[in-house]
Amino acid sequence: MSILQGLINLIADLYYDLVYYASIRQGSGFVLGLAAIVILSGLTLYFSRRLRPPRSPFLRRIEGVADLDRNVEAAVEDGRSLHFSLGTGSLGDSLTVQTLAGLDLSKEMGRKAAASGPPLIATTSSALAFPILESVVHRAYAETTGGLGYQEDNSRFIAPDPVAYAAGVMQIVEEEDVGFNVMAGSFGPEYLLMGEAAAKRGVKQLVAAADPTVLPFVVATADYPVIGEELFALSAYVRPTPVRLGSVMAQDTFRLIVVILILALTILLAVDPELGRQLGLGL
Amino acid sequence: MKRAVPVAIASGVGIIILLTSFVDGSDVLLSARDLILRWVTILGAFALILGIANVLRVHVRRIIKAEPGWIYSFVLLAVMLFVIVMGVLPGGGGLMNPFVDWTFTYVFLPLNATIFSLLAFFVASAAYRTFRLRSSEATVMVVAGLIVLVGQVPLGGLVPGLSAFSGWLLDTPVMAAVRGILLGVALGTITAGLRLIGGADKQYLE
Repeated sequence: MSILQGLINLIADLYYDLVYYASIRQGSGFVLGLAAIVILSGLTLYFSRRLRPPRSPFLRRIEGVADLDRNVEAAVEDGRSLHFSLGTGSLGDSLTVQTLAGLDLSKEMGRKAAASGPPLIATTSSALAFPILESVVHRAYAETTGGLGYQEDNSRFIAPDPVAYAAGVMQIVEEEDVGFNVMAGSFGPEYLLMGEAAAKRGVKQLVAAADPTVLPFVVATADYPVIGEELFALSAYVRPTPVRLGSVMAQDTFRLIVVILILALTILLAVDPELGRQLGLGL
Repeated sequence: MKRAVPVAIASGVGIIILLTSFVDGSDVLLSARDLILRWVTILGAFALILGIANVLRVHVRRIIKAEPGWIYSFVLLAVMLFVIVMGVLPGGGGLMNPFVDWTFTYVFLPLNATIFSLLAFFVASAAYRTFRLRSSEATVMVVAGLIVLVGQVPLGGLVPGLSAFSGWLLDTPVMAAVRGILLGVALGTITAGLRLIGGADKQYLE
C-alpha cells in the first residue's frame, strides 16, 4: 500500500511541477522536435485507424524479407546453421530503438528455425538485451513447435566489447558452419569484421543497420542490405498490425512533407536570398 | 493484467524520459529520470551475471564435448574467472587490482587493437569484391572511394583539382545522401519509440 501511496504522491508532485513551474525548453530545435513527435503521433493514429482489416497498404518489396524463407530452406538443404546477430547496441541508450527493431527479426528467425529444423544461434553483445533475446527466441520455438528443438545454447551473450563480440561472431561463422547470417540492430565499424568474414565464406547475409558510417560496409558485404529507416519498417513486414503499418505510412507522409518544405525553401531562397536572414536560417 | 502492468511501467518510464528532453524547470521530473537511470545501471549489473552464466554454459559444454577449438574455450574461461576473482577479492582494489590492470593493459587492449587493425585489410578485400560485381552502383562506389582516398593523401596534391573535387564529393553528394538517411532514421526512431511508449509494440515481453 505504501508503494501505491508513494506512486500517487509522485504523480501528484509531477503534475504540480509541470503545471506551475515547467516550461518547454527554449530553442527552435526543441520546439521542432516536439512538433515532429506530435505530428507523427497524429499521423500514426490516423493511418492505423484507416488501415484496420481488410484494408492494407502497398508495401515496397524488401528483397531480404521476401527471400527469408528461401535462404532458410537453402541452409536446411545444405545442413548448415543459422546465425542471428542483435548487434552491438544496448538498451537504455540512444540506440535502444534500433536494438528493439532487430528483436522483431530475431523472433521471425526463431519461428523459421523451429519450423524448418536448422540450429539457430542468436547472439548479442549487450548483457541487458541478452535476457530479452533469449526469451524471444525461446518463445518463438514454444509458439511454433511447443519448444521442440530449442536448446539453451540457441541464444548467446558473446562479450560486451564490440571488437571482442565481432571476434566471437567470426568464430561462430567459421566453426559452426553458418549457412545464412542475419544481422539486425545497431552496429559500429566492427561490423565489417563479421560481415566480411561471412562474405568470404560465401554465407548469404541479410543485414539491417541504420548508422550511415556503417552502411557502405553493409552494401559491400551483404547480399540483402536493409538500410536506414528500413530497419524500423521491418516489424511491419514480418508481423503487420494496423499500428505498425500506420507508423510506416506516417513516416513516409512526414518525410514527403519535409522534402516538399526543403524544396520550397531552396527555391524561395534562390529567388530571394534576403529571406534566409529574415527567417533566421543563418544563411 | 499480466501484461498490462509491465506495459504501463514501460510507458510511464518512456514518457518521463521523453519529457525530460523537452521540459525545463521540473525538479521532480529530473529526480525521477536520475532514479530510473540508476535502476537501469543496477539491472545491467544483474543482467551481466546472466550473461556470464551463458558464457560459462556454452564454453563448458565445448570443453566437455572436446569440440574443435575447445582449448580456446578453456583459455577464455580461465582468463574470465581469473579477472573476476581478482576483481571481487576483498581488499583487492577492484578494477585497480594490479592483476586485473595488467590483464587489461597487456592482454586485452593489444589484442583488441590487433583485431581492430585488421579492418584496413577487410576494407580492401570488401572493396575488391564489390568492384568485381561490375554493377553500375559498385563502379560508382569504388571510383568515388578511390577519388576521396587519393584526394586525402599527399599524393592527391600532385593532381590539380583532385583534393578540391574530393572535398566537394564529401561535402555535397555524400552529405546530401547521409542527411537523407539520417532524416529517415530519425523518423523511424520517433515512430518506433512512440509505438513502444504507446504499448503497441512489446518486444520486451515477447
